[in-house]
Amino acid sequence: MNSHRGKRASAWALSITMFVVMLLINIPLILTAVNSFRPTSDILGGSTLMPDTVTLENYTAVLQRSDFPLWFRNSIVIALITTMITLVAAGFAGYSLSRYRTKVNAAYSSALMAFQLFPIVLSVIALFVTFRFLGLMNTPVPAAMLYVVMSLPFCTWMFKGFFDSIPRELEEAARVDGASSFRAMVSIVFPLAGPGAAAVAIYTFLLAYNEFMVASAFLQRPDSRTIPLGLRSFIQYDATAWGPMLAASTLASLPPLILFVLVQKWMIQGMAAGAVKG
Amino acid sequence: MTAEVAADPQSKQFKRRAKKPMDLQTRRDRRLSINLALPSILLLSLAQVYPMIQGMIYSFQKGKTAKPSQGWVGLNNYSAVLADPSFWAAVRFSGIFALGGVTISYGLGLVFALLLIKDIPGRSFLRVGFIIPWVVPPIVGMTAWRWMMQDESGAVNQVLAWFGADPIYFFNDPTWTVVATIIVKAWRSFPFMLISLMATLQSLDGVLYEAASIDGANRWQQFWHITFPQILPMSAILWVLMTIWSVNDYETPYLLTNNSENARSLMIFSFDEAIHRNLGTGSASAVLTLLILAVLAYFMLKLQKKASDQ
Repeated sequence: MNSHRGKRASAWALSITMFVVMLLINIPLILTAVNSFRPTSDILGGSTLMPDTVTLENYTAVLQRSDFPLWFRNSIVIALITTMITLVAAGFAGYSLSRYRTKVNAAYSSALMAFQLFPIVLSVIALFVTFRFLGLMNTPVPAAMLYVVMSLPFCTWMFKGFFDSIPRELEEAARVDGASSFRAMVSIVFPLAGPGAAAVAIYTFLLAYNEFMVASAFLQRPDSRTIPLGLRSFIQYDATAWGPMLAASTLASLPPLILFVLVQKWMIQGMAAGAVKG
Repeated sequence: MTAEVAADPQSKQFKRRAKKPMDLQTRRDRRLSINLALPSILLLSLAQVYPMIQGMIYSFQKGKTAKPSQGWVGLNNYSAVLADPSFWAAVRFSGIFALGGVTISYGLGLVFALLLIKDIPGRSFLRVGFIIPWVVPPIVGMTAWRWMMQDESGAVNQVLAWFGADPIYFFNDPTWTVVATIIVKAWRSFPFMLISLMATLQSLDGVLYEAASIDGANRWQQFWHITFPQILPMSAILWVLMTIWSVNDYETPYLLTNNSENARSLMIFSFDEAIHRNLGTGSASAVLTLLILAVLAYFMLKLQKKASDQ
């Protein structure tokens, strides 16, 4: 009995220690959020965990006197386009890899592995010339296209993993009843992969929402900027506007954090399975 | 109707991996399997295969982004890149950055994974909390760190001052700039190590531990002789994978140091060179980076094969 209690006590001690470590790890983000409520003049005097003056002026500056709402809209549009295309393409391909073991699929699977390691800068360089020629700079097309291929390998494997866990007997039964393979897939298997699809969707959404390099190449006009580009323009034009900068950072972090917390269980499982096993 | 067999009996890979290979009964099914992969194949061809080939062509030509393909120049772009000290500085930076980042992020990821697989109160909450640095946009993390490190009033120097240490001007000193990028890279990438290692640790066999504790092995011995050998295959994959991702990283050094010349990675060098100066040499530099990554990827695939054979 005593040793049982001792075990529980040490579990709590470890838990509390880990909680403190977790706070320390996240200190850059905590400081950002706390100081976003302080006037810039105070922030320049040093960061703090306990603000002396609390103000919302940074947030009003960001929301009313900057293009933050526009950047946010641009980011959401590109991220949604990317997510929808990836869901369809990776869902189909993942299903094919899960159910049909052909030579084509074997080759495709190894190619995907190679693409995951591909330096995206090489794509950006050549496509920069192409999209400029096509007049598609500053539209969502180039960024969305690159984000789709950046997320495809990983999402295809995540989907394959989820489909692998759905018994084949379900489709076989449907096919005995006269449904085509395609119909069996769309009406029986896909609905069951819902949680997996949610994880893939949010992974892709976050990738597109967070990405900086591709966006900086293809979205150069101020009104086409996404959130990462917009935040950077903040510091570029006024290196001392830390108040609005921290407020904008806090606002920009909210959507990814909320989405991640919603599907964290599925995403962690999917990532662990998909990322490394291939 | 011809009966076709789905799993090619010659393909050992499939034999090993397939839990329950379903026979392709009809030609239509085979066609469906290819059609389903078509959208992905099309997208990958347009956005990766085509630009890769085009980039290789540019690397043998004179040109600028505004006016590409101004004639063939043989290997001139490559010799120009290889003679450029900035290119070698980028190789060196990328190497140190990758090595430092991988080592620290693996160490952190492993320690936290070992502690977080224990059955402690609030485990799933803690797990989410430890992954947050990986979830927030890089620009946010980089800005926060830049702000914390930039001058004597920054949080890092405030802490150093409590301990009576002199302030560090991270972005004025070439060595400290590199150190800063490594610390921040490790901060951003350890969560991935943590997730992957936790999944591996959870799949390990508990019987060995019971046997070992009966034999009187202490915790460190248990880890070193039982746990570590079992997570070694996965660890090796993670090391190579993270090295490749670090070489591919543009955002961390660029955003943290505000494109300081002391922290130009191969990505930043290739990108700037190709887009702003010379499409030919920039492409050549990107192709050389691709070759470096291909060697790493080759090892990665070998390790993966070895791991899945076990």
